[in-house]
Amino acid sequence: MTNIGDIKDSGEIRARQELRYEWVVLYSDGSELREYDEEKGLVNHFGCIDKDKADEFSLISKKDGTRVSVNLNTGLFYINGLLVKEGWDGKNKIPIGLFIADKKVVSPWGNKAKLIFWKNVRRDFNMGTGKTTTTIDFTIGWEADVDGEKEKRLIKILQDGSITIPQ
Amino acid sequence: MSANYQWFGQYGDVGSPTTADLGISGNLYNYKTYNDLSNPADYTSYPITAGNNSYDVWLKGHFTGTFNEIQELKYWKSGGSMGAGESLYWGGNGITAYAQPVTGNSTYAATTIPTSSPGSANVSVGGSLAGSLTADGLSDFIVTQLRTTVAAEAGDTETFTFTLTYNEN
Repeated sequence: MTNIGDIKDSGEIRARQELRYEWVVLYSDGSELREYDEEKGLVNHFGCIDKDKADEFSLISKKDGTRVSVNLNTGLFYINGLLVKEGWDGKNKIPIGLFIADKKVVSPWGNKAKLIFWKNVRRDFNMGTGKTTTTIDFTIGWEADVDGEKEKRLIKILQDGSITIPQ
Repeated sequence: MSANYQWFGQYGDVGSPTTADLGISGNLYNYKTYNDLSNPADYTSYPITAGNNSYDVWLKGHFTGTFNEIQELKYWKSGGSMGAGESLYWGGNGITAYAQPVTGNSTYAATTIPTSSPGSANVSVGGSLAGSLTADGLSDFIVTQLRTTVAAEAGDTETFTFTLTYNEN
């Protein structure tokens, strides 16, 4: 993993401008780790997250403050603090999340689910017009052995703010 | 926690090649019969005549900044139709060393470029499609070449959109 970044670095500023969402992790002791720590002037990455203390991971929209979260102890997903149980694919209701707080959970992150987080980055270059565009979607979720069964739950937050369930 | 990205190009004689970040915006490169990526606009001075090929173009993805891991690189042509007598060839798996660009049929850009997102990584890192970056670095080479037959029409080709996707955290 790379080092922690300087929030004032020109490259970091440019990279930040591409993001529609930024993340924050809530720790079990009540503290939090932000992707962009304005107070300390640091840019953190996934590898900076304290696995032992992480309880909840959230993406916060820079546009309207919408907060999409996954809790590693309960296995549930939330939007602005409200539980999201099901999604709709246009035809069927699809369960989102799996309540695991009353089950035996084992993962590399301990007796809770292991966080999954990826930025899905797309860079387009049009040869001819010279136009380049960048689109960044976000995949968040978890995986763990739950009562002896391998379980994984993911959602994808698209750049326009809509949410899908990855196949 | 977001990587900085630039297209990286390598061109010139294999004995003394030039390497350069091509940037992230604007006209990054064009296909032409001149083994030099420094001036994309000069393609009109080095046209590809019908029945001939461009020099193969040698690119890499260049990642710097703050990130934990970058993986699953996919490259394809996402837009633009090929005109009569035109075809785009490419290679992206395991090309770790620069070789002399050619206007003959490139042995590195050897298959037609995908026109939809591949199901899995098709650009290698460190010689492997399963490879990843965990520090500032580059993908392996993405080599492309525009080939034509005598059926190719005069004038500029259609515009093409090339897409690179990857996952980062």
